[in-house]
Amino acid sequence: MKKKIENTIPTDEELIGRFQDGDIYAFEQIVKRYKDQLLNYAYRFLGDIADSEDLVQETFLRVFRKRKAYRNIAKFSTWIYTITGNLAKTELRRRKKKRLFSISGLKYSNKEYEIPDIKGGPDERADSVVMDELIQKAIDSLSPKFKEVIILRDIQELSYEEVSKIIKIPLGTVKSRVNRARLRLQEILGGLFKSPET
Amino acid sequence: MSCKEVCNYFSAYLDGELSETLKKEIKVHFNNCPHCKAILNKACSIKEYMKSLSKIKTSDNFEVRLRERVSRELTRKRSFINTWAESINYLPNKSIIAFGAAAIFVIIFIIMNVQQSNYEEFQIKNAPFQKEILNQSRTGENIISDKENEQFLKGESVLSVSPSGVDDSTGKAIDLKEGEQSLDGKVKYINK
Repeated sequence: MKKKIENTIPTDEELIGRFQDGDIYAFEQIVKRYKDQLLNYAYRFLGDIADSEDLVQETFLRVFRKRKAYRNIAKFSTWIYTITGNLAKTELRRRKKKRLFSISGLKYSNKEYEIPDIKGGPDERADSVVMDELIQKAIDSLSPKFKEVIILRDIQELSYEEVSKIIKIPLGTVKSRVNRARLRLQEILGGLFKSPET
Repeated sequence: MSCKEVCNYFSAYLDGELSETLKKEIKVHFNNCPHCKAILNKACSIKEYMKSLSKIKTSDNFEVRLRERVSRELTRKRSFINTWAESINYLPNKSIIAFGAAAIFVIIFIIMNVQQSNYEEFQIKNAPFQKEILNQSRTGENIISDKENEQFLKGESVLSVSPSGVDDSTGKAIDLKEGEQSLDGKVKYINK
């Protein structure tokens, strides 16, 4: 007879509920779960790892301060992604004003960041880094409304419904923007790719 | 289906969100249009590559730094509350201070009310005088001297040549006989 194994991993909503009741350990679990994905999200927006990490820290601070504001009506992931997205957009606006936005792509600080090893020889690894840079530059060249949806949909791999809730635009608009963003990216990057048959 | 129409369905086709009928229709177009097919293929490759973009991880001390920031925030909140609480404790006797403040408010309130009622009372009592003076000034008579008028304006008692005084209890004008004073003692009727 097979025994039913209970799923003991708490959901995000359970964790935030516990945190609202004062369980700090639940907050630490939330941090562990979301820190890397939020960092990648922020990084694709800002193009700077150090700034992105500060932004993610600020996101968690806001979650800490405003934990009581979360209501179980929407998914927790929607809420936390919305906070990060808003902070990223604010930062982009601030940079635009100060004209500090860099078009050089990746920026390295003196902090050590772990980038996973890519299988293959040195040439393949170099190609991969170059490709990453080119993709990032292409994403940076998109207008903010297209950049936002393409990062959430194609990089963060969120559903259309979730993207719609995070950005607070209708589902049809999300699909339309994703479509246009993809077409725009293939105009910019098309020459680099030899595509398989679809 | 035209290229322009197919353009609108690229994403949906890539994501497998089209109905079977529409999917077949678009596939037929791709088979007959190398240009659209090339676009589709490139878009598909880019989409797949984006999924495999390098995933960055947070620095080793990310959580430690976050914990420090949270701790500083909590300390700042506590210190504000404590500073406020301590400032209350420093005062020699909280209850005396509170009582004193309340007493001051009450005294101020009473004084203001007394002043207000005195002023109103003065106005009511002297209303007939005011009318009389006005009447007199209208007729050109100058029955009450300037000095008496000045006294009246200061709220002092006035000798009236009007047969009316003011009833102190009701504030209403009353008829006086010659030589008679009003109940409040402020008005004495003298015959002209």
